[in-house]
Amino acid sequence: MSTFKTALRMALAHPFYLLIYTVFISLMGVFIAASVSWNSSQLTEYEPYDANVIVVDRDDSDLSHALTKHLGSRFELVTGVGDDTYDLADALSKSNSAKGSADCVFFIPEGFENDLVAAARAGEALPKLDVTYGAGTMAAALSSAEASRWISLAGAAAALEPAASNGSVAKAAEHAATKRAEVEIEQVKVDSTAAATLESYFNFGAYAIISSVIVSVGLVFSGMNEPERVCRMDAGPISKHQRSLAVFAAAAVLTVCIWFVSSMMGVVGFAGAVAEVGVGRVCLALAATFALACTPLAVGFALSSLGACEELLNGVGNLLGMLMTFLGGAWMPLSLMGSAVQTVAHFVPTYWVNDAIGKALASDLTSAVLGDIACDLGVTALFAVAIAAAGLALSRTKSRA
Amino acid sequence: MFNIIITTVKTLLRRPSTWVWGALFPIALSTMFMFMFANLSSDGTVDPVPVAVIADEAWDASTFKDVATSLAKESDNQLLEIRECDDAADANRALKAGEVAGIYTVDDAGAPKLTLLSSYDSSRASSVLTDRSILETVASSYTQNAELMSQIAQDNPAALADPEAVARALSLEGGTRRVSLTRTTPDGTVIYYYALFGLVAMMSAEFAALSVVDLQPNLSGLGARRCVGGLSKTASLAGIFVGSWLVSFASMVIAIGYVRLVVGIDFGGREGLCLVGGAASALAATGLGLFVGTLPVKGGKASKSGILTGFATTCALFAGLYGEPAMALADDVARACPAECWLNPVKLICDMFNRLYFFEDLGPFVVRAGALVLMALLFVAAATLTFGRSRYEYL
Amino acid sequence: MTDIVHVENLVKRYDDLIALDHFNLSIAPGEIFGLLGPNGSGKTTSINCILQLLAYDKGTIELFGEPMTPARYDLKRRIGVVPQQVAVFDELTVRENIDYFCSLYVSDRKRRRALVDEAIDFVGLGDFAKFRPGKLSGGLARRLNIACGIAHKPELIFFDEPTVAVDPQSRNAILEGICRLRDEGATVVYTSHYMEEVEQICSRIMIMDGGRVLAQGTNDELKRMIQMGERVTVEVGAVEAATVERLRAHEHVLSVELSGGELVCNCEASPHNLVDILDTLRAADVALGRVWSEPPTLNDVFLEITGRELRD
Repeated sequence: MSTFKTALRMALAHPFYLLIYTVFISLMGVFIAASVSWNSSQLTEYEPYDANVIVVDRDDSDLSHALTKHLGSRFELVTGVGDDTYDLADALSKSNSAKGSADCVFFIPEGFENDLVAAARAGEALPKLDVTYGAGTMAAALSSAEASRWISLAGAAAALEPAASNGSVAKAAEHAATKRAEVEIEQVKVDSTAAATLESYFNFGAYAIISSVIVSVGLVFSGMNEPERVCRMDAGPISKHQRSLAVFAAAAVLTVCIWFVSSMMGVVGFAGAVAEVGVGRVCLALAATFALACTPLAVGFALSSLGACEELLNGVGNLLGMLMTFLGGAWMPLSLMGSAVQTVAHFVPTYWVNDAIGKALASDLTSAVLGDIACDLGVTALFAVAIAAAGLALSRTKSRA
Repeated sequence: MFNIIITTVKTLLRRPSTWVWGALFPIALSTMFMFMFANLSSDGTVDPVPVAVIADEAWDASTFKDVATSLAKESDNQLLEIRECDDAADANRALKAGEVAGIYTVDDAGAPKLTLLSSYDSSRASSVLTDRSILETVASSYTQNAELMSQIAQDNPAALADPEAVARALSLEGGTRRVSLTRTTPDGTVIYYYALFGLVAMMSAEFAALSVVDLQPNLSGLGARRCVGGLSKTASLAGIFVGSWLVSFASMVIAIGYVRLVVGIDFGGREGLCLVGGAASALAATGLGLFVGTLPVKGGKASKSGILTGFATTCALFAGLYGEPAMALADDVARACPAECWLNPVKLICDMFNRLYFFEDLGPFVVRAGALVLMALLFVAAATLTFGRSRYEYL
Repeated sequence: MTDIVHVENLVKRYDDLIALDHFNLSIAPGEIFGLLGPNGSGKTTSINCILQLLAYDKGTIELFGEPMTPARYDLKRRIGVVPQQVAVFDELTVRENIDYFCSLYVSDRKRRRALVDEAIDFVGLGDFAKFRPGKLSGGLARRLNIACGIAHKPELIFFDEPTVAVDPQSRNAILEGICRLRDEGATVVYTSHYMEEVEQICSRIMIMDGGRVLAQGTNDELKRMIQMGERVTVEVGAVEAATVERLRAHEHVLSVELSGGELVCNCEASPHNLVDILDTLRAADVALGRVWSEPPTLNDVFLEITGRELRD
């Protein structure tokens, strides 16, 4: 019992690791998952994408006003940036220290109205509108398409009614542009926002669990494996077997505590989502994250068998946490990455765990799906067993040497 | 003092953690990003939106087909990628599999209809939603033309007397021309590498902090011994500052070099200035490390390194390092509180590199590099004050 | 001649605990001054105050005849310190460590190289110059610790228990080295728990406890300060309790202890102690073996002055 307590105390003697890796990174997970829920919504009726657009109107005409108004009706019109090249570039550069942030800037040149009407009536090519794209290329392309469309309408209106005033051409285009194509929404059953939020939290929370467990457990094992201490304890009346068991129990308790704290931060932080998804499903997901926690436990053990010092444990814990969550798809969906990454991801437990979490939170829990989840968890546990076995073999050869 | 610099560099280089944080960490993280962004557009070109059409007679007969196919012509401005399906079932399958963003069907009157899926992958909401909106805008061209015609038919039926003139009027194509305000095209992915530079720099603050711990008599026997030496505290501190800065700068060089040469991010021919930016970042980080190192907090090395790790990762979160959702969060925070861009060193470093990349004018870059140097000076001044004044009640 | 170290009425408190209670100290040039005291008596605290590592509450400290303050780097440059723990960089080799600490005092690179070589020779670490401290044995690490403190040839050197956990060979080498430093003109302040070391090398000794000076003087002066003047030891056969009582009743006998056939009598200084004791034993028909008499040791002085109860 005293070995067990001492081992626990060794981890608690480094509260900063527990604080930063468990609490702090989990907190980051809460932030990130919360921002996921802001962005996502189930589409029930079509709404245009809310691109941010700046219009620099140097023409100040009926047509330019109408175009600006139309773009404003479709998108978010960013005003207050002015016509300064530097300010405009700043707004496009994705950095928000600027006066505003935009996906693109349209420049309506002086004389645009007259040129457009004249060209349309003469049957010549319509003048083009200058546009500068920002970092959101597709949003800019969308805005451009919309602007082009409006100009075409204005051109057609001007050509068809040669006698019409510029004001009525603008009005005609404006009116026609509000007429949109019919959009049908094919309803499919989808992950609720709640499930997506929780999934995102658990995926990222793996970072906290992995890094925290590796460092804390590694510290316990390393501390208890220090050669001088081992000599001293070997000379004592408690068998090696008993001692190892006590140390392992302490490491397991630590792992459970870390898993619990990190999980509870998500469960409490997103209590509403948990209620929506259902406690049973969340428990299933938590079982998956718990299975995952066994891997860093094994890694911590293996590292300390190699004689890793505190600094190394800290570094490896953090890096591995980051890499494994990345390969699990917590940073960006794996489907967006190359096939090489997707293949590599299969060799990382987070991939399987995240698959299980996704299914547990969102799928119909048929026996087949439950079987899949069990299979995912089995693979995850195997990772831990394999790593622990490697650690055991290493420590054996080391102690013999 | 020269010897203190050398000693600081040597001790740091012989600690494994220096290599973990200074070399392994930036390489691992940028490699991760490299894979992460491998399939994303990063050159500012428009990715055509995949759309399924049900290629029936109505489609073949409609004028909308001409509009759509002209937009799907391979060119720099290609907006659509049309996939012709034999029947609705085929199109629906492609839609549900995520192979296409929507389906165009044309009714007997020739009016196109767009079918979209109700669900979408929330983690890539922006790209899904823009794709859908583009499809809708294109589809609307037909209805808008039709609306214009019916309007004119009401007001001025004579204007529609000549079908040729009508066709000519409706074929007038408005368009846009891309112009650039900046020296390079803004790119959504390079920003992550710049945020990474910020994090790498801030993680290297630990070098200075740990070196300073070895100078404090109440924290180590070594510190006590160094404090009774004939060299003033300020000189010792200065030596540690320069030594740690050199190592921190080396770490930035590794990060910048790796991102430039291996990941292949283009710095627009300003590699030299990037290194200057790296040096300024390392300066701010080292100043911060020095300051935290001299802070009288309990717990010695572990707590100082903990404070710095916590600080760096938080700053990185608000600079948007951790993927798309984090970037969105960072944008929101920056919009709500613009001062954060100047106070958060990771964000400041990120902005600095961003400015260097985009703007012909070096002014914005210089201002931010200057802000980092100023930050370093403030931290160093604070560190010198706290350290120089400290006399210890306990050892 | 001015004192090298002059401390007057130094007071240092740790909250309620008085670590130094009006502590006074004067050390003349060329001395090896021994600072003795049980654990927690204030030896290291006093040295840390003198070195200005610790803030103190009251008192004046002068080194080389000049007031010492934290910023007196000119004075610090003339001092060397060998702390209790081995305080060196684990990441630097033996040579790099010595060079680094020397560089805190000597900026000229060429001169420093010679000094470092000399220091390495001095402590006999020539074969280990490229080793890192982690690879050194306890004794070698201690020698490195010393080399780092003396390489710059200080005029005043503080040795804080430099021979803890060191084998007799290394200890002798260290003690000889300290004497050599003194011969070269350095003044040494030496603290230790090993009485025989202090007795062997120190010209003057101070015994302190509870932050106060209890006694100081040369070895002989200290011995004269205590009651005991002689220890008479007799190998004896069986001795009756009454005989022991009779011995204790002698005018100059301070204490008598009998254990394992050896009778030890601690006596005040008196010309007849030996004769008196032997007479008493003979009168009681005690069988006698070897008999010897010796003056008190510093250990006796220390225990008599500071008491025999356990510390820490």
